[in-house]
Amino acid sequence: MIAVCRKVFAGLPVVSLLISQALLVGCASSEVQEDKPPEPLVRQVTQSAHCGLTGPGLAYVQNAERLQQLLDLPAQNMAVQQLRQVDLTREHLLFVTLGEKPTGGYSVSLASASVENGNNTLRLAMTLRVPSPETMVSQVITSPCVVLAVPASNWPEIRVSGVRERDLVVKL
Amino acid sequence: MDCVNNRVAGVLVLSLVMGGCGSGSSSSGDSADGGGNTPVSLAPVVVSGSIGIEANSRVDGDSADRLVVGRLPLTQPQLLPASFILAGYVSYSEDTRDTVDPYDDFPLDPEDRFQVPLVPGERVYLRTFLVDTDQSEQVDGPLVTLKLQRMDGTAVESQITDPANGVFSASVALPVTEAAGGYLVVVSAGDFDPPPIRYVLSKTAGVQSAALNLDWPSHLFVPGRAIVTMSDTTSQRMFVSSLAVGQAVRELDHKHWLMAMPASRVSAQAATNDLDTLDWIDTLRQQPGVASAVPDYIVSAQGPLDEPLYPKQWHYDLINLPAAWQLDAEGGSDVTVAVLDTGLFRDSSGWHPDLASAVVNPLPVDPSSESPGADFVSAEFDNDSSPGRDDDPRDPGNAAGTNVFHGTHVAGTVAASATNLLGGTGVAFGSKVLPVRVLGEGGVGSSTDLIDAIRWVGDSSPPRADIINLSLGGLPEIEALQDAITDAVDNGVIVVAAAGNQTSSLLTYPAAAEGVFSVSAVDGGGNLASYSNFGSWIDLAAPGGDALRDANLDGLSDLVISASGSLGTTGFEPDYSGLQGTSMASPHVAGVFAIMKSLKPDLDTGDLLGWLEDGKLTLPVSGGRSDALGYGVIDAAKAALTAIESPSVTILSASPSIVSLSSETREFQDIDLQVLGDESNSLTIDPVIVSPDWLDVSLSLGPPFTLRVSLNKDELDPGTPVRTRLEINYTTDSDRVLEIPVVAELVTDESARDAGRHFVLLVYTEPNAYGELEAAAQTSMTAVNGTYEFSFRLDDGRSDASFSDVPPGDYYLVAGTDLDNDGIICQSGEACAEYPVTGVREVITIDENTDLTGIRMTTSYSRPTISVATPDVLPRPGFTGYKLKTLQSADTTAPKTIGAER
Repeated sequence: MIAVCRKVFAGLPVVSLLISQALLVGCASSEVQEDKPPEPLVRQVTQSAHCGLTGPGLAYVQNAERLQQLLDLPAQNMAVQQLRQVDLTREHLLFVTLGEKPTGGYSVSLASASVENGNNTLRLAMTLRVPSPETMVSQVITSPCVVLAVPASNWPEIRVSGVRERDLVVKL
Repeated sequence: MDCVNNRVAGVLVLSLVMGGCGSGSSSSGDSADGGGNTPVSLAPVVVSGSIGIEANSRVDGDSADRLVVGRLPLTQPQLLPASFILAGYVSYSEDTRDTVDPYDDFPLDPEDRFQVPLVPGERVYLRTFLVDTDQSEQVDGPLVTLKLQRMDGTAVESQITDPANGVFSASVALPVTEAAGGYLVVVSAGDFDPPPIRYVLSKTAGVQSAALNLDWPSHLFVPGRAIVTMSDTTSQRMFVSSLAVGQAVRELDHKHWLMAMPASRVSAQAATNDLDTLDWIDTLRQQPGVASAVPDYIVSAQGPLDEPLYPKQWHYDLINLPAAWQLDAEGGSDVTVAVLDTGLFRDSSGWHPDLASAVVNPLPVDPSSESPGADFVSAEFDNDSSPGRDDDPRDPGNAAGTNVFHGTHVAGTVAASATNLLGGTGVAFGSKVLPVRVLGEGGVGSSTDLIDAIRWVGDSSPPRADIINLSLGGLPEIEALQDAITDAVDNGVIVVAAAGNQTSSLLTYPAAAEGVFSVSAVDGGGNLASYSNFGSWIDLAAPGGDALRDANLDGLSDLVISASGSLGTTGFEPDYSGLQGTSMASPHVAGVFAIMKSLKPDLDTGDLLGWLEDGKLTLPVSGGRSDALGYGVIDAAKAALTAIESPSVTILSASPSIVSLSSETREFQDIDLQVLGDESNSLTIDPVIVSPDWLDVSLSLGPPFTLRVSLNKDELDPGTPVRTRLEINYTTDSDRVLEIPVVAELVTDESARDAGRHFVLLVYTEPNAYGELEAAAQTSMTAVNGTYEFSFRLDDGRSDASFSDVPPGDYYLVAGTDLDNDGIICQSGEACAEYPVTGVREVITIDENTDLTGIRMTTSYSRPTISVATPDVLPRPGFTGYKLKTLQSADTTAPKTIGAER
């Protein structure tokens, strides 16, 4: 058995739990290699207007099972191969989702990434694109998201700004 | 087990432990009628009956309510059939819930194991439900792992839920590399506080997924409003003038009224307004002359379709396309549809293979053309290699992956090839597509580009296309846009547009423009899609899909599948995808209009408008038209027949168009073969109809023709759904073929069904101090031969009244399981039955004259949905179940383990 961290949103306690080792790879144990964050710190793997995730928020992916779960959703059209090519032992994936939108014309992308709070917080600033009122857009339901690859380091916290009024937070 | 200091409970425990599996007893009841020596004269039975169990229901053998009475966790995997829906309980640790109720333990049961027969490709689904241990708004819970293992325990596949991110489901499938046979399916709970979890595990043999609704409906509605349907005009006047019941806000049409709740019924607390409204609607339903009363849903289909909502094959059967194709075997040939959109997918091999033969604008367009066309996207919005307008309608895609080739999807619905087995078939598969780009990066464009494109298509003589499809919107009213549309329509062009996805009745253009057919979207059941716009400016409706619904019960989300492109290793590749939106509805109508145009080459907007208003193009809508569906959902067969002036053709149409048989619900079906078109033609049906061994087919002689299909149960393997397609050959004006899909299943699990220990309650109709609907009388039992039998006697004041005796009063009759032993039944993930129908409970009054015997109810893990077919089902905002009866003060020190016997 190995200790595995789980993510919880802000306001909830960080909880560690034990799960069968066949299923998960460790994420926060001291054995993880201390790689210096490579340049660029965070890279954008893919964007999609049809991620199939209907709620706005973050989804953090550390293993193939979790990735598969996010790729099994209805109404999804993503660059699956690009996502599967990411080596999850070196980089984890962060899905930043806008939730369901009524039309085309919405997108989210990475503006900048920085390390704050003495290497404790990875801050990601996002650029949001929203169609202006009374613009002509395709009338298809979309679920826009961007998938970022972040170094599989021991980040206690990732804060994402620019998507909602308050930061979205993943605690690891 | 030390629990015998309470006489009633002690007897029950014994009975439960001995008869827990439902064996050896002709009566399933172990009702709390007291001890062994019952009084000589019993009070009369006032309510009794039986509860059947929905097909394929099973229950976890070591749920919490069993464990707390001493049952040990199972050590061997529980055997399950090929199709099942099972409810269960897991918990990483054991504890008490620390409530005042002493019967609140949740026991240890970290893992449940099942042996499931699987064939490659079949999938097992898990849905978890948090157990609300302290009545607070619990948003998180333990991770639950669903594992698929070979019988020797080696791993095949697994998936984990993620409650923190709102993922409460998981699924595992048997890979094609594995052999068919028995496999282990394991559900295990992670460590978390609070630890217990309820879950539902399901699998349907042979199909991709089971369509399940496991949650109580909670649609939004306007507080204090109701839509009331009157049974006749006399009572309407009386009712509307009786202000004590409600105030008429306005007449919606000749039978429907929008009513407002009287101020006297509104509570001081805003939070209770929803419940007040639902109570008031209940009162309205009891008024004489009221045929029905429903909430004013914020997304509401006010004009229900008259069509029965039998299962329909998504897309085509919903709009009766197969019958239309009999009338126009060429599928709209010689008609050109301009798709003003993001352009079309093209790679080095050419256009998308499903559309290649339909595209009328091969590259390059005449390079010497003075006014290049086909790509009208201005540089500001453009994302192709040569920003700005040109004559290249290729959709460039987007390297970042935000593009799903919207225009390709739309064009595919209109005109995809019928011979490409990989993809879908277009509505008018023989028609031509003129791709015109007006939307650039992200599906955004400008009104001036649209205006110029409409003029490019519509102003030339003859016009470049017969029909224009606009799966776009969001513009305000613009005079120049209206002028361009008017000129195109005057030039004979038919314009169809998407009504928009804002769930709004506000006018949006170009759909709301004069001369444009505005199309709202419906799901697979013919209901207005949750996102679709509505209003007086909607002309008609068509399938647009709804990812959250499976209204036609085919096991898949109701998405519209069509051509698309996806990012592969070497760039974009032709692909297919499922999308939803009024963008998808509009091309269905454009395709049907193309079929009509092919049958009647001079067809124009005026013809279509007149026929639309006369109901000749659509399935009928109550009252002629509604704000949701306009004149109704397009009916391709009806429309095609209308287009054939003085039709000499005669076709047969099947009603129902799809047959679903099962040994439990319907063993045979009579299909009416309706004659459409010229009835003076002679009709000969070939009596030889080839069918598989499991299906017997007989044809009635002479009109009206009826086909009876019946299940030959001896030829069916139990629990495995089978499908076939009957071909009816007939001759009218020419030789024709009618195809009828048939789905069948032999259900053999009636006696094996088990939905777990059931509590049957008569609950007070008013909530207690904690806002709970609590039991006044209660009995419990296990299933015997797939049935629960129950009875209640009148509590007529005798001193020895028992737990199951009911005092005179008003009650709801409900039943369900308490798998997590929290004292509440009917929570999501637990079985539930309500009298007379789950979702539509009715008050029953008990007194000495009550004789409600022989009641039949059905219990199930799934919950009713609100649809056109079930208008009486009301939302249950905040409903969490029914509270079991608690022992009174003298018993509060009783051991906790007797909790399961309440």
